[in-house]
Formats: sequence, C-alpha cells, structure tokens
Amino acid sequence: MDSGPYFEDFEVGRTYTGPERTLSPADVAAFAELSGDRHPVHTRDEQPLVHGPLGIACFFGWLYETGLGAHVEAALDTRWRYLAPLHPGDRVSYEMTITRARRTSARVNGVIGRHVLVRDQRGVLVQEGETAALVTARDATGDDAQRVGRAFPGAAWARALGERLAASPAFTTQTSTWDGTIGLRFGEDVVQFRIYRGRVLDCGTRTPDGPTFVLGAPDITWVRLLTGPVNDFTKRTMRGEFTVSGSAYEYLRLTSALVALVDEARALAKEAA
Amino acid sequence: MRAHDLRVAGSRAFVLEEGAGTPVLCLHTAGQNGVQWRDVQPELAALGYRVVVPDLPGHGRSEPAPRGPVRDLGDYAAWCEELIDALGMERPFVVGCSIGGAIALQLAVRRGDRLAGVVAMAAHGGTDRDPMLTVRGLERELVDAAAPSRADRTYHGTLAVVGANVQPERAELIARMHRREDPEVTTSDLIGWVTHDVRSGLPGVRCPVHLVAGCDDLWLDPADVRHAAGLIPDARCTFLEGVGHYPMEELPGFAATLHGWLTDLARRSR
Repeated sequence: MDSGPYFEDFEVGRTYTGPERTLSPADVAAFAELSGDRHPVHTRDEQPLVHGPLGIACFFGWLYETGLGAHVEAALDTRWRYLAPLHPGDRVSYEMTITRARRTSARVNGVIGRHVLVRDQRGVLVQEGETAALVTARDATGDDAQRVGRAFPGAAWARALGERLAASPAFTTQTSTWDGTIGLRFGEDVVQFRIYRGRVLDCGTRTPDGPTFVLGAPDITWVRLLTGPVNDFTKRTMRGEFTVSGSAYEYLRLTSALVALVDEARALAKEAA
Repeated sequence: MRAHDLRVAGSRAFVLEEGAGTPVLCLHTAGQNGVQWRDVQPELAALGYRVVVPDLPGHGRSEPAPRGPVRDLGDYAAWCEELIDALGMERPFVVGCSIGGAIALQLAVRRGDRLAGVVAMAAHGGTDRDPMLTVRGLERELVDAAAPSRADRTYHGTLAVVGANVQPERAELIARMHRREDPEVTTSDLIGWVTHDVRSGLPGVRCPVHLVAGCDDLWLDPADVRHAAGLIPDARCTFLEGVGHYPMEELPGFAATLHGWLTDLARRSR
C-alpha cells in the first residue's frame, strides 16, 4: 500500500476524474438483496430506479479502484443529494474535488474534504455530495506553513488572510469608515474578521460581538472562487451561489471590500499552489 | 451630428441625430442613456443611415417623465412612437438592448406595419423563466434608492455581464460609464422589465425581427430568446460568442455587424 496519495498529496482545489462505471441490472438486483431495500421502484419490470445509495457505494469502489483511497484510515461523514434518477444499465462517472485539508493535532494524519459530482452517460448531473476522510500523512514534520493559503477555513488561514487584508489598500480604503465584523461561512464553519476603520483587529472563529453579517456558501463554491482562473465573485452572487445572514445592508455596503477580500484570498491560495 | 431638444409626451427630450438615409432608432439599456451608442452612431451614419439616439425620459439629458420614473415599458414604447412621428422618421428600423430591446419588440407589436424591422438585443418580449429580479426586491431597493454601495454594485454588476472577449480596459470603461445612473430610474426600469410581457402579440408582428443575445449574458436565458424567436413569424436569432449584455458597447466595429443585420431585415421587409 505504498503507492497512492498521502495526506500531503491532496491539494485543495485539485480535481480527479476516472473511468465510467456501469450500474447493471445485476448490480441493482444484488444491491436490493444485500441492503434489503426491495422496494418496487427498484425491482419492478417497468423503468426501475437504481438505489440512490448505490451511487455512493460505487463512489467508494471508484476510490479503491483508482488508488485514491490507498491511505484512507477512516471515512468520517457523507452528505449526498440525489438530483436525477438513474436506471439500470446507466453508466456513471465521478469527479472529485478536494475542498479541505487539515492536519490533525496528532500530526500523523489529516482530514480531507472531498466534493463529488456524479454524472450519467449523457453528462446529466445525477448526484452530488461531500464526504470527509482521515488520511495518513507521509511524515509528521509537515509543510503546513506552505499550505496555509489553501487551509480555509482554519484559524491559521484566517490569520494569514487577515494580514493580507491589513496590507491591502483596496480593502483598507473600502472599510475605512466601517466598524463591524465580516463572517465567512464555509459549509457549516464560520470564520470572522473584526474590522475597525480599515484595521483588522481580530481573526478567527469567535469575536466578542459576533459577525455583522455572514457570507456563506458550500465548500466547493469557495474552492472554485478562490482557486479558479478569475475573481468571479459578483457573477456567483448574481447566480445565487452565496447566501447572506445578518445585516444585508452592511453586506451591500461592503460590496467593493468583499471583492478586494476575495482578491486577497485568491492571491493567498495561489501562494500555496 | 445634430442635437434635438424637443417635447415628447409632456417633457423635454434630448436626442442626437447623425447621418442621412434609412432612419434607425437606437434605444439604450435600463438606467443608462444614449451615450452607449456613441461609437456606433457615427460609424452607422457613415454606412448610409439617419441614426437617431434618444435619452429615454429620466435618463441622460432628458427630463423625467411628468409622472415620475417610468415602470411600464409600454409607456416608453408610446414615447418612442411620439418621437418617431415628431422627427418624421419614415419606416424606421428600431434597434435596442435589454429594456431597449424589449421596447423595440413592443414597437414591433404596436406598429410593425410601419417599421422596416427590429433588432432586439438581450430581450425576449416577456418575463424571464428563471427570474433573477423580483418586483418585491426592486420595491425594497426603491425605498432607499441610495441603497448602500449602489454605484459599486452597478460597477461590479456590469463587469460581471460583459463578455469574455472584451478587453479589460474596455470592460472597465463600460462599467465606469454605467455608474452614472439615477438608481430610482434604473430600478423603475427594471420593474418595467420584470413585469412586461408582449409575447401574446409576437405571432402577429408585421415587420422582420432579429433577436440577438450574448453567450456570456448572465441576465438572459438563451431558451427564452429561442422561444421568442419561435413565436415571431420568420424571426432571425443570433447568439454572439464572448459577448455579454451590451453588444453595442462590447463589440468593436458593431456598426458594420448591425449594418449586415439591417440589410438582411430590409431584404425581408415588404
């Protein structure tokens, strides 16, 4: 098991693809027997449906087949959405993007966040999910300092971004009359930046008064925004990819400051590439 | 170039005219003004057209409409009809973009028999199938027309819908020019966009029509444009690669492209 990627090899933003996999009628019948889910929608003669969880199970098979799971110690969680039906005989392909990489305090391994797109043979997006895993590290010394630019939304990343924001004329000018706290939500995790008149007073997961507003999106949206070819933050907000809670007024007020913040976070991510 | 300062529908209207020949009325987008046509106007005039570029009421140098910001694109269409008649434009072409395109389609429905043809860009004659704007949201915005960072949002929002082929300096210029709006007027224009619908009249349109949309236009669903093209008898439909919401500002040499479309329309006009 020496081949295959270790924790250090999974760079946030990297995408993996692989060969198609057919979900045959025999696969669906076997899955019905094994799971006990013999519901008629899966076993009827007319237009039976593939069990949604078979798409998940085959993702883990794909990980094994491709060798990408070689150093996985444990699966930690899985969240999955079934977006369109699959029928026996359909062929699925997986596209996996690394969304998080955080070394554990034990240092011998790390937690990897993975976003998964599942498409059928026509290219239709049929399933989408996220699943985290504990992966063995190659060595415990670590290169965390070099990787901090893509270690969002961790505390070290927040500090590194805070330093860049404090040194960004675009950001400090746009916040030069502002007193508040910007919250950024990655999935369920929020990091905060306490700003007073262009100065960054504090960064981290907690501030005494909490955020003035929170700008949130799933991990994959942040990864695409921060590691993609251009700063397309405005396009993504127009498409409804981000949500805002708290003071929408203050969020709008910081329109240009947030574009500058994304510029800095992108530059930081580039350093870690 | 000649400037007109005339009364249209009860208020003073500012209109720039250049060239002689086939008359063409050019309509701007929501909240903007005739300056969007500044590059196209002389080039199109040189190709043999009488190019008439108004500032719609409340925009640019035109006074506001007597009853305040216009929320009904039909009112703009009626205003354009009065302008066409006041300037003695015989069987003109009408070219418009976004709300200007929607107004052009309204004119096609209202008096297509007296038009040489219509080029409607970034418009499809009705409400969007997957709306990005709502009347409720826009009404909220109107309560505080100086809603925070409005100019910055217009600037970044414009950059977001300019096409990928546009040079960065040109995109920057377009976005900076678009900041010069009255948010109350723009927002009212957008309420007009969200609520307008002349699709039931499209099958009866009696002039040739060409629908044009940029492939990078976030505001538009291509399916809506194709649907509208299907409703209008013998309509043309063009999608421009690398172009966004403002073809006349984004495409270098747009006048020559437009000349090609107008020539095609003229051939099909009775």
